[in-house]
Amino acid sequence: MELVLDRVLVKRGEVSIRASCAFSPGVHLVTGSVGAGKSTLALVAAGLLPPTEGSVERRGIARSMLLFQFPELHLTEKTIREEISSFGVPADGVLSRSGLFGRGEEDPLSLSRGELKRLLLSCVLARDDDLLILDEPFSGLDCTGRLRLCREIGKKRGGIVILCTHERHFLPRVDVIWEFEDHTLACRGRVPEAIASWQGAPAGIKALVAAGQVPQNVSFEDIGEAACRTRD
Amino acid sequence: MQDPRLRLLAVVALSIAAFTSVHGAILAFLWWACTLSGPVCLWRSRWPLLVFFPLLTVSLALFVTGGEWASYSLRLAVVLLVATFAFLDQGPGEFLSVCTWLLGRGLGFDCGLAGEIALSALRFLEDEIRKAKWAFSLKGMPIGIAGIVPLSTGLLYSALRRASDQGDLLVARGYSGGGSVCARFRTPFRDILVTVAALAIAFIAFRPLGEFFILIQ
Repeated sequence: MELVLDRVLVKRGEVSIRASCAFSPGVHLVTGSVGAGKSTLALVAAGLLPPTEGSVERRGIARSMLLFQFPELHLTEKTIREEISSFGVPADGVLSRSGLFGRGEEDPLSLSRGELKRLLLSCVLARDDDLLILDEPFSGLDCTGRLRLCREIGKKRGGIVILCTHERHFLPRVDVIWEFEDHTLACRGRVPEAIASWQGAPAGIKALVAAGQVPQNVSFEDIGEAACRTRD
Repeated sequence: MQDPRLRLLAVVALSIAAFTSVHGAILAFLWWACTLSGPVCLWRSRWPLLVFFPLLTVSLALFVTGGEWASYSLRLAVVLLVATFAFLDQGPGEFLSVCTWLLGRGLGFDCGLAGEIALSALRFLEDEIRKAKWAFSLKGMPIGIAGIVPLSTGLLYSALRRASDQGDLLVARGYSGGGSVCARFRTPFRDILVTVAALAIAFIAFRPLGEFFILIQ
C-alpha cells in the first residue's frame, strides 16, 4: 500500500506548491507555517484536487477519507445519529466516544465547534480506511481533547495516516516527518533520526536536540522523558 | 480595470444603458466582450453564472404568458453580465476605498464596510460550496435534490457564524461607526478610454437608433 505523488505541482494564485514523495503505511507528520501548502497537499492526496502538473498514484488504497479543518463543511444530515451513520460507522459507539451519548437526535449544527470537531474526529477514526488524511485536526480542541486525539491516532495501525498540522505542543507518536520549505514538501526522514534535522521543530525539541538529548519521538510523553534525562 | 472608481462609473453607466434599450444592451455586451476581458474573468470563475437562473425562470414565465420575453431577457442578461464582471474584477478592499472616497469617512466608510463584508461573504461562499461538494463526494453520496437542503443549511450556518465572528472582531477593535481609509488609486489611460466608451454607450442608449443610422428611418 502506497500513495505516490510524482513531481506534483499545484498553482494557488501566485503560489506554486510542489511535492514529490511516497507515503507508506504509518503516521506521517506534515508540518509547515500557515499558507505553506498543507491543506492543498491534503486535497491532492485525497484525490479531490487535480494537480496542475505531475501525477498521483494510489497503490493498494481502496478506501480513503479526509477530515477538513472546518468541521461544518462535512455535515450532510439532520441529526447527529444520521451524521455518524453517513460515515458508515455504528452510531452508538461514536456517540459515547465523542462525549455525546444521549444527544443522537439533536441537530449537529446545535453543537459547539469543539463538540463538532470531536464528533467528526471520532467518526473518521472509527472507520477502517487505507488512507486517512487529517487537516489541522487539533484546531478547536482543548488540551484534554488534543491529548486524547494523540492517543487515538497512535492506535491507528495498518493504513497510511497523513497528519497536516502546525500544532507544536501536542503531537502523537509519528513514523515520518515531512516539512514544507518555500512551498515545497521536503522529507526529514524517519523518527527519531528525523528529529535532529526538523527545521521547524518546536522550541522545546530544538532545545533538547541542542543539549544532545534527542527525544525518541515527538509526543508530549517522549519530550517529557527526554527532558527528564537532561536533568539527570 | 485598475481604478475602482472608474470601474464603478462604467458599470453604472452600462447597467443603465443595457436596461434602457435593446441597442444599449447590445452595445454594452460588445463593451463587455471586446473592450475589457469580461469573458476571461468569467472563465476564471464561472459560478457567478448562477445569477442567470432566476432570470431564466422569469423569462420562461414571460414566454408562457405571452409577455415581451426576448427584449427583457436580453437586457437583463447583459445587466447581469456587467454586474458579474464588476464582481470578478474587483479586489478585496476596493469597494471600501471607493465608498469612503465618494461619501466620506462617516456614511461612506459604513456603506463601504457593509458592502465589503457582503462581497467577502460571496467570495467565501464559492470556496465553501466547493468544499461541501467534496464532503459529499468523500462520503460517496450524490448531492442531488435531497442534498440541496443540508448543503444550503450548512452554508447558511457558516455564513451566520462568520458574520457573528466579524461583528465581535469589529467591536473588539473599537469600531462604533465611521473610519478612514488611506487609499491610493492608479488611473491608467486605458481605464479612462474604457470609461469614456461606457459613458458614450449610455448616451446612445437613450437616443432612438434613427439618429445614428439614417437607413433605419
